[in-house]
Amino acid sequence: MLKISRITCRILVLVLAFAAIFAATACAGEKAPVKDFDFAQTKTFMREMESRPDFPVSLMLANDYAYSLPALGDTIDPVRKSAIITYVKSVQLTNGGFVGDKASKNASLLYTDLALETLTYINATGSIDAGKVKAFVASLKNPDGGFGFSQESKGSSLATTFYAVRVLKTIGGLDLLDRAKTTEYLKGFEKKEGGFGFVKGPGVANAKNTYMAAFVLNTLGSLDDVTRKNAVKFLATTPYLDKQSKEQPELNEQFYAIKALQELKAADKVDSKLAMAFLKKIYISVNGGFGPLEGYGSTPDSTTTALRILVEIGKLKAPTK
Amino acid sequence: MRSKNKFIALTMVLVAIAMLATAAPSLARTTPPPSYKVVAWNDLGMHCACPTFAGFLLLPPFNTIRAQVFDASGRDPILVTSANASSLGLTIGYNMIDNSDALNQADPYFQQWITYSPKLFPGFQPVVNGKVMGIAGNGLSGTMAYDSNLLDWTAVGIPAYPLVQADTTKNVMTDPLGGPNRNPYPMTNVFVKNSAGTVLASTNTVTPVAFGGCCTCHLPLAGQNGYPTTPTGSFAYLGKMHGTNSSKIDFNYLDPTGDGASGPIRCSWCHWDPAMGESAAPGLDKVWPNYVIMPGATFTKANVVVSKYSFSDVVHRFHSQSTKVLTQFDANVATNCYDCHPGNNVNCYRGTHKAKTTIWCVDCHGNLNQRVAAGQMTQPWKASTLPTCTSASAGATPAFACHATSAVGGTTYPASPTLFGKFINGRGHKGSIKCQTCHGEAHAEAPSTMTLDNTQLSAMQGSTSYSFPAGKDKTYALGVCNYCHSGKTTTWGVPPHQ
Repeated sequence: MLKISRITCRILVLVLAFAAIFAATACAGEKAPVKDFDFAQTKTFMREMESRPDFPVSLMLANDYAYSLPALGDTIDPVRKSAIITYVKSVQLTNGGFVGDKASKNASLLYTDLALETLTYINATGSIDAGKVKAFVASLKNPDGGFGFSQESKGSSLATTFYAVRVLKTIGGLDLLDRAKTTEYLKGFEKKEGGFGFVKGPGVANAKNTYMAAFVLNTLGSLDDVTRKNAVKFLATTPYLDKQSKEQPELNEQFYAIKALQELKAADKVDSKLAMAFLKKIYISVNGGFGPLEGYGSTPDSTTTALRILVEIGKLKAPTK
Repeated sequence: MRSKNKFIALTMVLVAIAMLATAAPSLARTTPPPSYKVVAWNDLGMHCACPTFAGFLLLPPFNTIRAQVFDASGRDPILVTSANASSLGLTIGYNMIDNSDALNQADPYFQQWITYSPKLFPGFQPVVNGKVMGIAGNGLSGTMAYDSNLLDWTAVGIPAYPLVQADTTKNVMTDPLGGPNRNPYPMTNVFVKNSAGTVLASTNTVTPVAFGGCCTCHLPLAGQNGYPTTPTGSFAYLGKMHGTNSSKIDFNYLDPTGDGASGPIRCSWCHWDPAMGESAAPGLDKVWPNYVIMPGATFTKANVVVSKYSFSDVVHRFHSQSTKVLTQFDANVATNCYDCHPGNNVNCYRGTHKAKTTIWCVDCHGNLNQRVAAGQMTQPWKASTLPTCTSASAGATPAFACHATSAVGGTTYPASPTLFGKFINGRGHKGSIKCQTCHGEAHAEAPSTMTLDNTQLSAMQGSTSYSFPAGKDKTYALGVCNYCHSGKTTTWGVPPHQ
């Protein structure tokens, strides 16, 4: 009896040992993706712009910096935070809109949205005059329910309407919207296969425009179930969900596919493993950055987008509170 | 007494003749001296080429190699020019190492060039007697001509092309069409031969040529608008977009040769592009007088006129201001130069500026918004709109100080610099040595971040008898006097720049 017990014990110990090894391996597998990236190097790469006397250089790079460092677990020191605020304020024109850099003269909704997003990351949205921003957005409102890009390019598009809605949401100005008209305008971009494209009529949907449309429709409370399901169906055909897809994945589209699924209340369908596999392919071990496509070099913009993906799939902490 | 004087005089004359005879090689050489030096480089540091040519042409396979040759047998070297090369029986030649007539003609992308280039350049023959030719008449190997204005030996318009090499380690460039990677840094051997065909000196230089990033956005753009995500689909949509601008010309409906088929067209027929060697756009009707506008077009021949805008202007301005580009592809296109210029694992900006600081293209050239605002593109590729070592281009706001005027002092420029900037055309040391001879090619200035660029200087300054101060090595700009001046110091330093 005792002998059997010993054997049983030994078997039990062995089983437990194997189980422990298996569990450890499994855990390691869970963590492995993040270990594939040298984030210390990524931080150094993103911090390169600090050495420039004209830091933060441009609105886009300010945005990259303000997002990336907190996402990588770093804090932005007060001097640089102040430099970012000063820069953002310097690219707001008298009409309330923002330009992308100091050389530009035409304020647009694109850069206005980018400016507000940047300030949000550093909790400084109060540093600009929201009333002027709202007036700028109002000046670009069109009778078709959409919004134009700038005073120089007033035609509506899905993207510019998205930026307008996001800006208004940030500054608490959604009352400016004509919900029925804007919904009708947005629906014109829906494709018969599901999802949204950036032009009305023929053409194919993509993840970015699907996300932008879903965001606007959600904000307006106009996202119906059929539209939602069709959009998810479309996203299922993209290389971000379909493992058999022959299409070459692209960084921005990967990000917007995830964001779109979240807006479409289908976050459970996000394929984190596929996203990680893609990120590994575009990771540049030489400098810790990420490229926009497999085989391409890294830039601050593409690296920031990769970090956004890592945040969205829970591998990094979101930079905002 | 008189005969004694005569004897002395005769003796002196004979001694003088004997002395002259001993010293003869430096005064009136008739045979080549034993020591020549040749330094070669590519004029720009990168040339773009397209993977397809059936729709339209941005730039042809066109690469220019330049070289300076010195007779370094004496203490002070003598620049070999067309005049003394001829008297010495010297030939300066080149031979591409990684491109060959057979390889280029077997490449499916280059085959498109062979097919369509006669339509793009009427009268041009891309292959002559089995040899691939460039539009300036130079092939993949040949002799170099002396440019008495720029004081260097030149082979203009070599049809270099990024190929898939058997040595796959060279294939670093991503093919935007999904094919295998290609080699964007093929090498060229430049040599000096005597009249017997003996190689007296030779060197290898990078001959960079790569695909830009156009396809990366334009293929999905076509797809998003209902066109096939292929070069053909992309050209079709581009033509449609072009038809919506003020020109009204959808170039899909242009049949230049009247053979019933659309295209191919060359942008510089209507948009002046000095990079094509033209001082003005010729106009389609001058190139193909019997061109046809195909049925279904919504424009007429009255619309097909020479544009007042240069090609550089329309391309840069459109991309920096298009709401589609900014909202759908890249809000930061004004500073992300690699969106269009070769960055796809090629990273054409690779010189010492990149290695030492965070200087980016825009610091020297200005970002797209600055370039447009300053009117740079009205005179593209000209010294007047390009940066120098001491100042950035007009409109740019560099974040870093340029080189002090005194440090570059004495640099001379030819009266007619033709194309390109002062670094590319300028001369410093002794008034005859080109900036690029010592510093390497533009955008890859020594020491380059790419090893291949540094191989030439490493070989030149690789002698174990040479020494370098702390922080410098053989990859730095040519600074060992002894390399050219026998008997002078073997320690690296900064030579006089005038």
